Amino acid sequence: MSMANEPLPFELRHETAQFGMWVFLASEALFFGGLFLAYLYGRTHWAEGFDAAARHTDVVIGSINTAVLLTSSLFVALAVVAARALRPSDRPPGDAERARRRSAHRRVAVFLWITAALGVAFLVLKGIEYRKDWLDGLVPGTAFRLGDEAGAPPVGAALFYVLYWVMTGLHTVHLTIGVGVLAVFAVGASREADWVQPPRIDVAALYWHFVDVVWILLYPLLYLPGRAG
Amino acid sequence: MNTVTVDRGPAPPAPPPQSAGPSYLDDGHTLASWFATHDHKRIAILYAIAITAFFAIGGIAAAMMRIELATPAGDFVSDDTYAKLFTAHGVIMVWLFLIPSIPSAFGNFLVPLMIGARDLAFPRLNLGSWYLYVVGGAIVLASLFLGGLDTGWTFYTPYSTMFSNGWVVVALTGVVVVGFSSILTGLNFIVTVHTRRVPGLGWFRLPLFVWAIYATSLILVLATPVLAITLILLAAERLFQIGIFDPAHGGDPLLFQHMFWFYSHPAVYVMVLPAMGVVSEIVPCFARRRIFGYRFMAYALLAIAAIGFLVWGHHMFVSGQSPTAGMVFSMLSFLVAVPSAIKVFNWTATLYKGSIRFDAPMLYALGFVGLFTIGGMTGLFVAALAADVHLTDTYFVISHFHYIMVGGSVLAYFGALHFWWPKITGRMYPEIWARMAAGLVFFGFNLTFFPQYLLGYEGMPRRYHAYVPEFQALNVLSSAGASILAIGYLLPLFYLAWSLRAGARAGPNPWQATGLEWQTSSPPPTENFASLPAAPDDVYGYTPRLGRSPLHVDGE
Amino acid sequence: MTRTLVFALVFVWVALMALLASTLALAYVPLGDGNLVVALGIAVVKSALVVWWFMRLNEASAKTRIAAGVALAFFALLAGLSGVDYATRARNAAPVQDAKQLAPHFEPAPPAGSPLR
Repeated sequence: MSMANEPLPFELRHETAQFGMWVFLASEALFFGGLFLAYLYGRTHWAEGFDAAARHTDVVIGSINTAVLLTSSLFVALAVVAARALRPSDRPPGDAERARRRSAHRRVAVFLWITAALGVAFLVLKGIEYRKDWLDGLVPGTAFRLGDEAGAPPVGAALFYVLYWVMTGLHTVHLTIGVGVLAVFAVGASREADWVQPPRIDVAALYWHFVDVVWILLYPLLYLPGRAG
Repeated sequence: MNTVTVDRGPAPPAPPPQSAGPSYLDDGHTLASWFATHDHKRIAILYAIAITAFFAIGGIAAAMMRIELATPAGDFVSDDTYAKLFTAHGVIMVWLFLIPSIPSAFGNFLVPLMIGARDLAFPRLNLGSWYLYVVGGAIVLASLFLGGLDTGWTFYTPYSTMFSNGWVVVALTGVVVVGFSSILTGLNFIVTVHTRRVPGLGWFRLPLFVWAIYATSLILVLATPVLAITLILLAAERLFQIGIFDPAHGGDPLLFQHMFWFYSHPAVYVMVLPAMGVVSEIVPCFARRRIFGYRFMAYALLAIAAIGFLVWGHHMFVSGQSPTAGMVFSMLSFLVAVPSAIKVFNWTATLYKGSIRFDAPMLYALGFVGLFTIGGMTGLFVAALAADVHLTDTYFVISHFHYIMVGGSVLAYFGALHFWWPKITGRMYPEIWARMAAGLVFFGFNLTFFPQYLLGYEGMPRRYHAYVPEFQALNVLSSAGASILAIGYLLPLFYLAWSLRAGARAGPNPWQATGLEWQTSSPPPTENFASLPAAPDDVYGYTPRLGRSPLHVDGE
Repeated sequence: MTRTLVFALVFVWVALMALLASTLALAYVPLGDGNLVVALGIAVVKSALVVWWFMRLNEASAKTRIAAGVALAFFALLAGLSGVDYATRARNAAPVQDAKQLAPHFEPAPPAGSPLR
């Protein structure tokens, strides 16, 4: 059996891609993990400051954004299911098979467009929120203040917002990349391109879900403390 | 030459019929065929060239430091410049040389060959890793050309965030970019070893070099991201003067150290595990005996990788960490010596009743075993809390880690270079010159660094360009040793380059070694094997020769 | 088969939205330190649902599941072993640490001309 240019079997390619993306996500988990450690440090040392600071995050936008991302995860998961019909076949497709693949491409495209649109919605809301935060003085520095609260902010409040901006900022960068990737796949699926294959969609979806999980964990840390009483 | 027919055990399988395709070196001569290649072997060579260049730059910084330290007064360079020199030396040698060296140059070349694969799992990602490495390295060099930085390679706060006037953020950016390169390389190796082994090649039939690269890759994927986020936070703190490492704002400088060393301690195992893998390939071949305790060697690699994540606090014994944490980390640091010691015992046991040949690779490998042992044992000195209070930040620590990084990793790198040179280039290097260079490296290294143990023990602090006159004699010995070491490093540059034109052509298996990489031509074809190789029965199927006979070097 | 799968995914989504509603509601119930524990706990459950069902870890190979588990374990290690230092500083401080450093309070800056400046 010659080794030159021999294509690998589909299952092996799928397994390789999936496993590779999970290993990458493991590294990303530790990348964000450092920030979670910093948050843990801040919360255990400056509980009151963190609570006071977290009251000024916009819980409405934060909660809506969480719902948006959870829904987007549903749609990208549905896209993965729909993409199963796009497995490359050994023989040239007959008419029925071609029709099946065409509708699968359409479904995949629709689901991916919805996911990307929800991602864009997240980004728009985030942008509005960032602007509001800026106007409320929630940017650490010499002009830092907690909205309309009188007196100097308690110790730890500035620390909270350092972490708020860095954590959500890093998350936003990751989300933007995800939106870009999904949009490219959506365009490809609309055109029934050859390169739109299940392993690749699977891998893009895994990345998207990871970005969602990071947000799921950020939400209670940044939006919910200090709300009670 | 007289040839005596002796029993060398079962003959290695006959060399394969001449492979279908051209050798990977002949498969395209344009710039694009190199800089846009997907071939892991060409990428390995691209890495090797870049790594050599960075090694030279880091070495020049070291040479300037040793020139300064030959006299007690700070008369060669200013204290600021000296600080920039040791920072440059550390940053370049750690991130641009040691971390990528064996994995990216030899791991890239050999792992697919050793497992019977056509290439790594993600060939284009591999090329991407190289570009990230080169771009990151260029950014680090830019920080040096702009004027350098004086924080030390450890970037401790608050100096790096509040007081240093150097080009810190530029350097941090370069390191983060190089870090991502190594994460992707590690990812590639992990997926490759899991999914691309030839049928029949189970985990416990893999060469220990593959195990070593695998264990190293686990560390790269898990530890490097923490470094990346730490340096990003450091840069943010330096740029915006508000951060989590500043007590005035409720932060903690030790948080930086915890996060930094969570990566940087496992990083030293990234530097040494591949070297151990190399030694495990060379020693059995040149002792003609199977490795002693194969399974324990494999488990020890994994154990070192795992336990190496538990010991980072031993870099922080005197930083203000609680003594309780200090005790915990001290005990765990003693633990990590156990698998390392097991490996040293097993290499030594492999030699027993072997037929040992002292070719250059073996000289480097044996040098590794001895020098790594010394370095490792002095690691135990500094792992002891009470001793470390006196030894920390002295030349003792410097000597300890140089014994492992240079006496260990660099020697193994040179050993690998000589052992696999025929496979990579199809040429043999001149043995006499190689042995001379190995001898110079060994002698020069010990003359450079052994006096530093004594200096540290007597209290000479590190990172100072001037010292009390009592320390001069040992410093002069050290600087003299450094000049000999430099010659030992330079010689291979010349004779290896010479061998590319005029060295004897090598056959597929000039060392009569086991391993799938020796079952294909030297140099291999682009697709590695003409046909799918069969998994070998015995990964270290050596038997000692009876009597003496020279090995044929022109292929047999 | 696909229909059951789609129903399962939608069901997971409903559960996620319900958990979101409950964590938001519980945030306004005064539980002291329990607020953080409850909120994080719910977040962990939501993450587990996404990882197990949406990311299909339920169908994944052993090595993939191990990769996910290892990532979690190493974050726990980072936080836990660093935590040993933070947890024991008050009880057993390093001699170099001034007692004031352990319970910082921010005094007005020393007057000009003072050696502490």
